[in-house]
Amino acid sequence: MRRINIWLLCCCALACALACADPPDPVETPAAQTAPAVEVPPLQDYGGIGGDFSLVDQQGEPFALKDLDGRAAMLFFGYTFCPDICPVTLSKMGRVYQLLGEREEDLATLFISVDPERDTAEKLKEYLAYFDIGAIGLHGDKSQIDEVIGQYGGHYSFDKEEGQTDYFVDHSTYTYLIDEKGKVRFLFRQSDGPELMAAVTQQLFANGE
Amino acid sequence: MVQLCAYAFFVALFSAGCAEQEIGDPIAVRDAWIREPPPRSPAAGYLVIENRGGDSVELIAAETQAAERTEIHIMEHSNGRMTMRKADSVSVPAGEEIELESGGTHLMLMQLRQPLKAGDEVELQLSFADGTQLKIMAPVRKGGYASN
Repeated sequence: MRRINIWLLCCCALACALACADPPDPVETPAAQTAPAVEVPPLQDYGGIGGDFSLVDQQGEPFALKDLDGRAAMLFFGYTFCPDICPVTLSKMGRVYQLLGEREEDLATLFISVDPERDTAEKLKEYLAYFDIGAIGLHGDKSQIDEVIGQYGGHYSFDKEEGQTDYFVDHSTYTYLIDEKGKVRFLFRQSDGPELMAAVTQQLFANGE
Repeated sequence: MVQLCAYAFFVALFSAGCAEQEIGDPIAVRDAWIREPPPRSPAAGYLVIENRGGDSVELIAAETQAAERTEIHIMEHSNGRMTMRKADSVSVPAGEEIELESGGTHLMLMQLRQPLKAGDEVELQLSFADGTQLKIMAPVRKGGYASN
């Protein structure tokens, strides 16, 4: 009788230990180098949105889409005080470049700031250097930003009091894939992963663009 | 004697398996981490709150030595448009858990007192409406899709 009790106890202990075992590490693990197969949606022709613009980059130099010199681009709107969405998108682009391998030079990342007051050229330079993907940071005055974001069917807004420096900006979260002719060919959502983004971009390259 | 050892074994295994949670009956907090921020930007904090009790609980504040001010932020995301706003509290219904995660509700650590780098650890003090106070260590990580 005593022997059976001991074994029962040990089995219970083991069961408890297994039940309390640490859950799988929740940290986003890096995507496998052999990325999972994704069903790749076709490129689109978003004729109604997009187009060229004139802004200033983080070196203080004028920038227009034609300055891409035939490169494709991923374009999105954000701001450097953004705590979550913008860092995630920029990190995601780092992974996209890894997946693109030798074609990474054929894709530029364009980060357009919707926060002209805080996002000076200097601030953009410092912020984007952190992500180390050669991203081009673009800024302009309010009317210029309003115009560009309107062209791309995007949106931004914020509530800020006079002199307030810690305000947050609501903004569109789409990332636009732009081909070498400056046309919008795909809209990625915030939830789309780097594998999908790289696969769609590869289609652009495969089309000889 | 053998039964005593078995009981001790039981307790040891049970304790070892549950080591990484902070428990303030009925609330448990786990898997906290802070995203390493770019220079001079605020940092986002994430964690899971479990409510093992029979009544709803509410996180009403978070504090840390690492930042002058910590806020709870809610994100609402629809049709490609993201709206973020400060929230006074996060409710966790009875028997459920809420994950503060990227793209959703998260903590905002603002006016950092020192730069936060991956590998650092930050102590978060969480206050709940029922008076429960929990402390949890949150490692700083390069979040997103960093390969390290």
